[in-house]
Amino acid sequence: MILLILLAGMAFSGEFPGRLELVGEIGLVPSWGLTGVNLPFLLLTAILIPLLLLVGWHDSTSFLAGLMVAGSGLLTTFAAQDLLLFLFGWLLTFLATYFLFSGWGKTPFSAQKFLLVNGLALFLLFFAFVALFVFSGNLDFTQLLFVKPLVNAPFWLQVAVFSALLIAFLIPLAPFPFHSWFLECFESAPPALRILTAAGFLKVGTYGLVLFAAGMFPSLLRASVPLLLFLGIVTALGAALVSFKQTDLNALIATATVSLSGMSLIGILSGQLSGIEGAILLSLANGLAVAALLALPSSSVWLIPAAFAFLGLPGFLGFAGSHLLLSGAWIVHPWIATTLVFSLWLVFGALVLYFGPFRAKKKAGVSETFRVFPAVSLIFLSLWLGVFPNLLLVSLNRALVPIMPLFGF
Amino acid sequence: MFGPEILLFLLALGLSTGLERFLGNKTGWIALYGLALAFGLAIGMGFQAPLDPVTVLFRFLILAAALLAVALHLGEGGKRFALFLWASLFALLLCGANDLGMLFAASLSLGIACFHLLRSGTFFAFFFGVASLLFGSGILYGLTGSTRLGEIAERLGMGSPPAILASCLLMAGLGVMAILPPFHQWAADVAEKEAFSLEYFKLLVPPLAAFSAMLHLFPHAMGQARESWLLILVACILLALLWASFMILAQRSLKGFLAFLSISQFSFAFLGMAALRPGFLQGIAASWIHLLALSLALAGIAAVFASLDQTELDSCQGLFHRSPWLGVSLTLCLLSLLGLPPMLGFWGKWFLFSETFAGGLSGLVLLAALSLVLPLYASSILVRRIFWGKSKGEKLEAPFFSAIAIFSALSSIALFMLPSGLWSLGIRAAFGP
Repeated sequence: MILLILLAGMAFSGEFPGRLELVGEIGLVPSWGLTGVNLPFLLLTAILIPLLLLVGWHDSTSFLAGLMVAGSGLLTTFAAQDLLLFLFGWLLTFLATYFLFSGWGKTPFSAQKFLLVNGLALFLLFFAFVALFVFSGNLDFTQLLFVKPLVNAPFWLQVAVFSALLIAFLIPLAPFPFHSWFLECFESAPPALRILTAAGFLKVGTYGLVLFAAGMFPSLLRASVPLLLFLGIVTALGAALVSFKQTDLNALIATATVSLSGMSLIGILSGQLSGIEGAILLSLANGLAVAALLALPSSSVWLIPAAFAFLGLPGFLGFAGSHLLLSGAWIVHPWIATTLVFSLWLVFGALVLYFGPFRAKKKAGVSETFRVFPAVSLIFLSLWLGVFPNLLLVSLNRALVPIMPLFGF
Repeated sequence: MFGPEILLFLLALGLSTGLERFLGNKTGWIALYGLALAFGLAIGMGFQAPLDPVTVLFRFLILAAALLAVALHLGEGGKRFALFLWASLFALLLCGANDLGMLFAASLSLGIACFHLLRSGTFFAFFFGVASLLFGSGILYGLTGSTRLGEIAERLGMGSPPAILASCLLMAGLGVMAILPPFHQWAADVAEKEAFSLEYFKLLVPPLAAFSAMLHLFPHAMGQARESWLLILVACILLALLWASFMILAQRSLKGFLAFLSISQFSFAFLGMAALRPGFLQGIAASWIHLLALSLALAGIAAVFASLDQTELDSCQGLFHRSPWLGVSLTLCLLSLLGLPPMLGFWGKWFLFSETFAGGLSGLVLLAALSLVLPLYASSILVRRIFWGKSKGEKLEAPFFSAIAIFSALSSIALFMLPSGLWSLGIRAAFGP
């Protein structure tokens, strides 16, 4: 609650930049702040942390501590305004999530897979950040965006750093072919950890792609757009088709989330303001809806509006996100937007088939009912932001419009 | 100027000539106090002529590592303290050698002391190293007509076939002691019956001394013929990054795991050496910070392993439940070795990678970063065992080892907060006070 109040205060009073002069002598000055781009992600994380604690209330203290550390890591990641703090935050999230998977995941294999795949992302990020620091002499995001640090570096090095950044952020975003760790981990995790992974960890990918890979290497991004669009379409469509096969709500949510990750990727790659804003809003909407769906007891009637929020039906934030994203994708090529609409329709169909006719289910226990209130609050939040998307769009516009020319599309 | 060396010499001589029998169980403590005094003297003397600043910097490290090794040995109830002091003394002499003759004499003496101290696996390796060093030095003397490194630096021209041959031989000679693959076999040949303190000593003290000697020899004395040794060094680093990192995964014993972790991570320090070029000496500071982090982390790991009184890696199962302090300390030390915050190892890797980038060896940085995934995976399996494995014994009471492990982990965290101070110290040594 304190976090939320602080965040609200920061959002209404403008920017709250901070700097830590601890290592200033050697040019490494961690700084943080609130910008339009990180506001939705910070908002999502600040909402997630208390929800995670409520969902995992009956688990052990170590589990709750792990969730809080992971949540703090996510907050640091999204609040960071420089490479070093971003790396620290992401590392904290990564280590805490691994700790949770290895202790409370059903299979040890999923934890090891998480570590191997995301560990690769971590060291690629380390490599890329050191390169950006060496060639630019500073760590600040904003300056790095405008300086384009590697412009005088050898071409192969530009490709290596761009690829490292791209892969490092595609892994947490989990589109095809980087999706298998997410599906396995999601299946083996307890509810609170599922929420953390799907609604928190995955969003680092979207945020990182918008912040680094897209803005800093426009020409390389342009060259790789066909391949990445192909990956996005395969992910959106393939995961939507696979979701038809799912008989379990958790597996259905996991595959549908992967499908939406593919859509977000396409939104970012569209290079259009509406596409990028759509991708960010869709990420936030997906995070809220996934958290609500997973927090609700399996017999709750509120699952239906939560599913609507997940699908982005009119009125919910997901609709605003999808609408913006599709309009951006339409400018790139109409058939891409058509394919995305088709994949959304498939996910919708899969969810309808899952809920299907009424099936009597066991009544929620006392331990589950106290999760209903926060989950329902998330649904209403999604509805509120869906009706008034400008609450977020104004600050997003303010942050993205100046850097849009850097995308070079 | 040679206060620590003279102190160690007198103490080692005293212990070797009968004082050990007279002192009985107190021998270990006397050796520990002696090393602590030598360390204090080295710090008190600071950067004073005639020792060059790089020697002073690495002298701190060698004495700190020797101090931790003796402290560990004390916990294991071991003997041979006089040999620890002799080996440390010869390591200090090798560290500051500025003459080919001194380099040879110190290497030979260190080899003999280590052979007596470790009693296994070192004889042929060390004498192969010393022989290579002798032949390499001979060629270098033939090329320049001097044995003094300063004069060699002035007289040695650009790379020539004899210079390349000399580089190969000298690299092999010092590479043996610096556990640089492919000359590292003696370090990987672990003796299961020996104490962990000896393992720690052999994995750090001779390598640190040899690394310092290599810094004096290659970038300084053979700086003009950089291309004749750089390629060999890069090939050795590549081998270390790929092979040693893979070998960690195959280890089942505690000592094997410790040995390959050390071999793979020590080779990262050579990235800093490879990045050195005239006027750009920041790599020395980067390597020094990395090696400081490595010394602390390995001491913590060795202390935890020693407390288990077992040989198999599997004995770490449920360590956290048997002793939470040891479990957490081991995890933090592993994080430091992997170069992850909030441990000093992070700054070691950050500075090393930055300097290697600046030195134009970007491909090597990419490979080094990727190679870290393997130790990360191997360490994660160990961490799983520590926290989630079924405990195979009762509560572990090892206050002495716990103290060393906690000290190592906490020092690493504390030094993580002071990167500017460490960097300034390293830069001061690299460019002169």
